[in-house]
Amino acid sequence: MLKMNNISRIYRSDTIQTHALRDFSLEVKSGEFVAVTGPSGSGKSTFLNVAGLLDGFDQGSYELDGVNIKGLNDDQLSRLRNEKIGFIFQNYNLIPDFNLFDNIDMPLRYRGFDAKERKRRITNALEQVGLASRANYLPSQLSGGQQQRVAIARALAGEPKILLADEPTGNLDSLMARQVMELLYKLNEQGSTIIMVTHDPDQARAVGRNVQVIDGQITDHSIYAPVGNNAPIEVNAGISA
Amino acid sequence: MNIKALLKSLRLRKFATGLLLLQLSLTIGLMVNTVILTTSAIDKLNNPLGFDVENLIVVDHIPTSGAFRDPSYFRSIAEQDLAKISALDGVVSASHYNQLPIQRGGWNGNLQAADFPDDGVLEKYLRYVPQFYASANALENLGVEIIRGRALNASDDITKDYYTPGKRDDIEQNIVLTESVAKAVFPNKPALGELTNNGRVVGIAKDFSITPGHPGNAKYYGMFGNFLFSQPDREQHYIVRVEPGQLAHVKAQLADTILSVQAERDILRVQSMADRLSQFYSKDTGLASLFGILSLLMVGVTVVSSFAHAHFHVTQQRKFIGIRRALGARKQDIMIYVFSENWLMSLLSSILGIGAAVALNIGLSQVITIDKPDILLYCLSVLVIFVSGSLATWLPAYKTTKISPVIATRTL
Amino acid sequence: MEMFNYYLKLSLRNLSRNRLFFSLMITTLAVGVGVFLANIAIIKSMSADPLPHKSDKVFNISLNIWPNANPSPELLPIMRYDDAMHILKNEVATHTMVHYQTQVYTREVGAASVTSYQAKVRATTPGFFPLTSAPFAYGGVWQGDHAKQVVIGDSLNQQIFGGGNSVGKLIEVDGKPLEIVGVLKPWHLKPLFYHPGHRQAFSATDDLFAPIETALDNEWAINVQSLSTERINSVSDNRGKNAFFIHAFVQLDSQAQINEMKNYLENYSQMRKDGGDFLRETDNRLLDVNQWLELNKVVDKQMLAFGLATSLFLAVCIFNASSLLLARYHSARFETGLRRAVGARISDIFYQGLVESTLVGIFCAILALVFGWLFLQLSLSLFPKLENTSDIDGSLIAIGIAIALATSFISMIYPLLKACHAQLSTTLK
Repeated sequence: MLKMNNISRIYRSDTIQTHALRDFSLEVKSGEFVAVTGPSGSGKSTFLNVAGLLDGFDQGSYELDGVNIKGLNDDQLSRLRNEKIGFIFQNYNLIPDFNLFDNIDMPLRYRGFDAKERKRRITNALEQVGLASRANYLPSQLSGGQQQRVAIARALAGEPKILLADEPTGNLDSLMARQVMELLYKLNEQGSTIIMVTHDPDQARAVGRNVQVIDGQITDHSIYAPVGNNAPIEVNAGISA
Repeated sequence: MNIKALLKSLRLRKFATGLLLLQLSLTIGLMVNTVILTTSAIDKLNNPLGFDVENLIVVDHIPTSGAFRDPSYFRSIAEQDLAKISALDGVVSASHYNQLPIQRGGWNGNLQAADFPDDGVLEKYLRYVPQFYASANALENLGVEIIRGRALNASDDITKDYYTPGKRDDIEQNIVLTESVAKAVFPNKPALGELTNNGRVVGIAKDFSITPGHPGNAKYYGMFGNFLFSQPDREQHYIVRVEPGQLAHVKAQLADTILSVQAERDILRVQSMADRLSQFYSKDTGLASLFGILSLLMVGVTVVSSFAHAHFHVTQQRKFIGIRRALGARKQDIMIYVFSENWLMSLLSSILGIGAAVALNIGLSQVITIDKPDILLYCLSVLVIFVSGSLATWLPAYKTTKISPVIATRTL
Repeated sequence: MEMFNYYLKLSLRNLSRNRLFFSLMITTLAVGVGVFLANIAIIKSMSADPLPHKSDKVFNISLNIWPNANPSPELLPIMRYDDAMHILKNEVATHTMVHYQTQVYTREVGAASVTSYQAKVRATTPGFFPLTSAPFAYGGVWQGDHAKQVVIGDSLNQQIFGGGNSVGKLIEVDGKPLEIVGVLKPWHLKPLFYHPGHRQAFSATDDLFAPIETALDNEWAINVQSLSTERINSVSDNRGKNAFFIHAFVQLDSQAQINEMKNYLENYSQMRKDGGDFLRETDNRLLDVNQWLELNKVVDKQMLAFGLATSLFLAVCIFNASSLLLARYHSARFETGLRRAVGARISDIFYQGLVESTLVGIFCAILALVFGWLFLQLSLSLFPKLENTSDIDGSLIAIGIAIALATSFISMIYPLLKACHAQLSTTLK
């Protein structure tokens, strides 16, 4: 699904060069749930920006769902983002004066679906996250956990190939965090590929596969016993859940 | 005050800063030229005219009946008009004129010495000297002094001879010249007693403004003869001199008084000389007014921009302002910082504004006559920009005092 | 189309959520456009072509003949009676006319009331009417140079007779009767190209048209401009003397005719020179309608000066709108960033901005037309002489709308492009 090979991303200012990503290689297969951990400033956010086609890279190659990213122009990248990727942000990033329906509708508009198709997908997505009855609500009328679920619905409505989550439970209390994670697990069981950046090591270990990033490079590549039943077999480093 | 830091901060927002600088300089440029137009219009209106403008009423009228084609009939009606007007309460004197002072164009002709050579070339404005044919007391009626020789009197009246067949060509008129034209026609000798192509000079009158649009002394050129042009196809003019304070009272009665003598006249206009003057300069005052209104609007729009610029910067810099406060800056330090940015803009635009004012002045001088800008005027406009800019910045600057230092620690 | 509706909905929502901002922006932009438009209305009207279908075929004739030695090089627009008569004799032009302006008081013969009406008169020749394309409502031109027949304009017809076909009726001037042989339709000629000097350019067309010989016979005084180098004892005495007061115009439909006319005038100048007159340094001059109007500086200089100022003001208003938009797009960057993140292309964001700018432009246009009208009334009250010089017609309104849309667009371009190309990231603010 996602194949990054020796990706380098360098930020240049007048006097300093920062290697945000250095020789970064990662392969994620369809259906995997990968947690990306690492200290602040390690390059996790940069990785997510590059993976999500929000930022480019200076060296290496990146293949997403069989499409080679190199040399694509902005229009083509936008298209890819729209069709293949679903974002879940730490701050939910819902438009405050749109109701849930219109929030989820937003990315679908750029797909060119007609009104009927959009309605079908939105209703489906809301059902999947358990908020179908609140389509007319404004985000401010929901709890943090519910807002994040709407954000997940928005990501799902486009039927993306991969979900990219940036600290999805970072702003939630433990109860709501559990609810959101359970939703993510459920989606993964149903076949969604998920890459999640997280600070929480417990959360990371609960997920099938861990990638640790330090100084722009992958340092640790552990696979843990997953929470669910379909698990890859290899266990590494002996730390179990 | 760290000027370098301020400049750097402005340079980061080149486009927004550039736009505001352009607006400020153009506003300065427009204000300077507006004040120039306004002061020159006021000057023109206040220029001493040399005659008694305040107490004069002008009546313009024209006969509508064919009876006036008879010159003696025409004359008798005119005499009756003037007699009846003079008899009105508050009237000092009244005279008839073929044209009026404060005019553009009019009844003009060559004025030259009688022995001026046939192939000589006459100076431009001596070819267009206004020829006043009026009552004997025409100049006294205007309040103009005779400084040499004598005023015209009844014996100088050529009307009768002019309209007697066969006698017209033999007339040698006695005329009074204004000082400037007398000097121009007879530069090397006193004009009194000399013969011109239009008659013999018997008196010199003090200069007064006749054709204000002419340059230099040509605006004072004028020749006066005692003659009533008794033909009904042209507008006739009476000027009535009133006692101080009686203007409105007399003005209200004039039309009826004239019509009571003979009703077949069209009274075209009854106007005080002061109104005539402001009408003469209405284009100058009108343009100055338009420019003034535009300047006000421009300052208004620029104030909106200054406000937006300051507000934008403050909201953009919220976090950094919070950090500064967390590190020990006082509320007034931040306020001064915001103000100083606006003052720097005003300073920069005052430099650019010089170019704007000069360029606009040159552009305008291609179509109208306009004085050049001077330093004092310029400084005044810059001051307006400083003040209005500061006022505009006040609210955003005040809002910075509400920014709590705790922002520095927030991660969201 | 679907996307257009979506963007329209978004724009309306943006406008209603940021009411203060947008009213500020639309108002300041509309003031700039309105003031500019008011001035354009006046200048456009003053620089209009009064005879668009043949303005390049109608010419003013100015001669270089002067009776005294050492004439100045500047040509006069007026000529002598003899000059005019010679020009009338030409067999080159399609139409020729000469005229002078005068004024009379007239009333219907036998009318009960003694009220006479003031009439501005054009003492002219029959060629006047086809040359100026004067529109006849009834009747036609007079027969005979000294005929006691006149043509009247519509307003005088309304004043004296209350309108209608007045051909055959009699009016009197100075007690002498004149027969009406033609009545014109309401005729607006702006500027009055056949007499643009001395502030006549925007006066109404004449009330009465009479044969020039008849006017001279009846001693109708010469108005506006006349010059003489010898004593003139009466109006009819102008014939044959060095009195300059007549204007001449011809219609020349081909270059060949123009050349022939130039020769004709050249020959005449030579003939007069041989007869004792003097010639100015400049050649005889043929100027077509628009050239003639330009020479006479018909467009009011004050209005041109003000035009310069209103252009600057418009620029300032555009800059202002632009900086306001810059601030607005900056504060809207969260939503823009979000849209880009979920797959909107740069062109989608741009198109959305375009729709919003068009909506703003439409509101601005409406307000600008209102401001423009108000400011026009203000200008006219300060310059009463400009009364007849501004027509608010369809083309002006179209120009106003176009300018409003254009300025809305121009002020949006840079801020929108900047917003479109902002760096994307997962941390949206």
